[in-house]
Amino acid sequence: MASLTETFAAAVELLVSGDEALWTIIGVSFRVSFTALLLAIIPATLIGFALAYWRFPGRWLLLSLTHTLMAVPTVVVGLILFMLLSRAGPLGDWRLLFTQDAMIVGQFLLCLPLLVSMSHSAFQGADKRAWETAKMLGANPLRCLWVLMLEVRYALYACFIAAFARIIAEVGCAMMVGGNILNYTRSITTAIALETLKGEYAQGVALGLVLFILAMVLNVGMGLLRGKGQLASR
Amino acid sequence: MSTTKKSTLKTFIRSAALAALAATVSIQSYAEDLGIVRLATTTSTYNSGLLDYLLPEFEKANGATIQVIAVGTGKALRMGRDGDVDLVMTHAPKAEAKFVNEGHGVQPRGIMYNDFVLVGPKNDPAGVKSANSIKEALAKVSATQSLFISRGDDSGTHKKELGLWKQAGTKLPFEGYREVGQGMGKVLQISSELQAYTLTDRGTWLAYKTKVDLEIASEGDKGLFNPYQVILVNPAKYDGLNTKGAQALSDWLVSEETQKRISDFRLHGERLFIANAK
Amino acid sequence: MTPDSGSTQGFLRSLLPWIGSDKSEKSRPSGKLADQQSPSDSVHCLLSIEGLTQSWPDQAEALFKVDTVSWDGQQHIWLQGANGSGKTTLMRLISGLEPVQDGEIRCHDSSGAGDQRICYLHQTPYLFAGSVERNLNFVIRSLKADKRPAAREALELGLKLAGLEGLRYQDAVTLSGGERQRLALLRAWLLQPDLLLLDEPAANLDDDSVELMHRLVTDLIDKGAVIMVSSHQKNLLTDLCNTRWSISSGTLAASSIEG
Repeated sequence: MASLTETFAAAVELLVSGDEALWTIIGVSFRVSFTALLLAIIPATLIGFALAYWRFPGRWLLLSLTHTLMAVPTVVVGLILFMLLSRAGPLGDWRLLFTQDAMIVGQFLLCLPLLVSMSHSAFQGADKRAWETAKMLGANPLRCLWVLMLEVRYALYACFIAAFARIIAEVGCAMMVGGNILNYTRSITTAIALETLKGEYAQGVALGLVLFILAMVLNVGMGLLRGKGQLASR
Repeated sequence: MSTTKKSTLKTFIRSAALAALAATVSIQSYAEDLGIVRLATTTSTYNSGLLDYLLPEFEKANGATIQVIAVGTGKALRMGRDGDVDLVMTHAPKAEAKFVNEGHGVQPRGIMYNDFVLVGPKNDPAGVKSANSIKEALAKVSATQSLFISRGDDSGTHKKELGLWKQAGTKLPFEGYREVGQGMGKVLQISSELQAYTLTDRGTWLAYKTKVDLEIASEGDKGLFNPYQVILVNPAKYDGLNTKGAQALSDWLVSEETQKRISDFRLHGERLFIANAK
Repeated sequence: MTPDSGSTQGFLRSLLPWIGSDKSEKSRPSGKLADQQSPSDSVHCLLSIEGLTQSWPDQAEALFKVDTVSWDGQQHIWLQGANGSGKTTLMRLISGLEPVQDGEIRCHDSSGAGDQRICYLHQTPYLFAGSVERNLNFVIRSLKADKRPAAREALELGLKLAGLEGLRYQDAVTLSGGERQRLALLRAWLLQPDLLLLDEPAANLDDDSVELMHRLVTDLIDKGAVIMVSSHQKNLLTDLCNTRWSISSGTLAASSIEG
């Protein structure tokens, strides 16, 4: 089908020519997802660490809950958030619905369980001696944690990348609480959904390419980091 | 005829089997007649419930199955252009004219119209309610830099809205103009949340008006009328189209009886469409 | 707070060492303020263990039991026992890396300054990523600010003592087994602990490395530290010891080593 190649050519041209509308959308996506990830990393890592090192009552329950939350579809998170933030909802006075902040909150909630679960596994697989040695050498708890995080840094990077990939590629929640408003809350994925609906495939394909390239860059980057890690631990 | 209980039973079974066979054959023969007809239409048409009200009768009478694909006008026409459907039912006169002129569709027929309304916050910050025409109403919205939510999805409603802005002499986008690229229902929700104005078809408005915190700000202007057309996808362009079925459906839609049924259709007790096939 | 609920508290304490610690006394893990053990004669008791019972998580039978034993400021202990008898566990318990299940381990701070320091060295040491110097700087940065300049000065001497002066800028992961063990000990040396626990320090090491470690440990002893060494074989480090703790058939017995 000729139109397939035509669409691809048009998509690449849009990207290369620096089409403003297109890059605004990409900007919104990155701003929202990066902010959500940055906000989530610290609490999630701490929770993941606590789950791995601290046998407290309810720990098992919290772990199961984390795994369950990971499987919750993004639209469900979106729906719950929508109901909370709606003018009729309990948090309606915050007037957050259909803003980037609402999208950030949604993506924060989406990546938190994933980050907790993966950082928990990372810490669980860590060499305990790292923490113990730091402690024996008089480091304060924060510094011990830092040493431990350095020890499992590759697993943590992988965890952050997976979380970022999940939220930048999700459409359900972003559409619901963001509202796909041009120049405000239109992200890569909601734009693709819209362009397909309009029958305008070129922009959709261009945005899809961005996600594809992003995934590739992240994975290649991860591979390089891992390679370096192997070299260092030989 | 010597009738024992046994033979009566036998006869009964035999006749029942024959009847069942006949029924199967008849359904098959009908299905062979019209088969599956694929109709692309707009979400607003579909959401009004009109098709669910009309089409079962056609399907029953003709043994056809109609697969309705509800998308935006742009996508509906695109599907027609790509030969993915047999006919389209849309409400965007300019795009439809282009569709026909470019040879993608044939036999455009007007079947009915409904109208659009401008809805907005109950406190009417732009003072639209005092306007005498839709042109004036929209000019007030843009002059006061009020929030206005646009469908922004190339749908019939979106195209209508763009046409109206042009008539009102407003240059888009103005401060407060937001394109959301979503369906009408979602746009009404967003407008309600952000307390903004928006242009909606009356059907969706009737379905949503109890769920949103908005009310009609302007209606009744001739410029707000919304004509629907049904167009067959050009059979010369693609093999394998069910043009026979599409033709039958098109004919049926403009028939006197169906036209009357369209005008009788009520949503929330209000008449939604005015049949106007010639 | 009771000793039974030790697991979470033990963790809490390991995370937040100031919790449940008294200026002059640290009691692990119960946090109970034990009576200050009256020093017997002139020798101050550093640490005492009472009624300690430790077992593996899923096993009913105890790994070992300790009725009462104390460690005074002049005892250098050679900890003996067969493989799996619990030597490592006992050392980890003393250094607070493992929560005590039943019983008590009390530390009695001789100085009263609340900074008695116990340092346990793993049998296979963990080195931080980066150079040898970076590993040592980690210790210096852990010290109180007023002690850092002295430690920085001592670093040069320490590198010489440990025979690592040529490897200062080398990546720690590239060190040999003996060098790793020496670097780990040098880190502890910089810290100047009061109690140094060495877990099989001489296992699989060449004589030169043991010799160098002996120099470092002797220096620490001269500065007032006491040591505990677990080892199967007699070596230069166990020769420094004057007391024998041996775990056999699940009980710990202390005796002096005839010099």
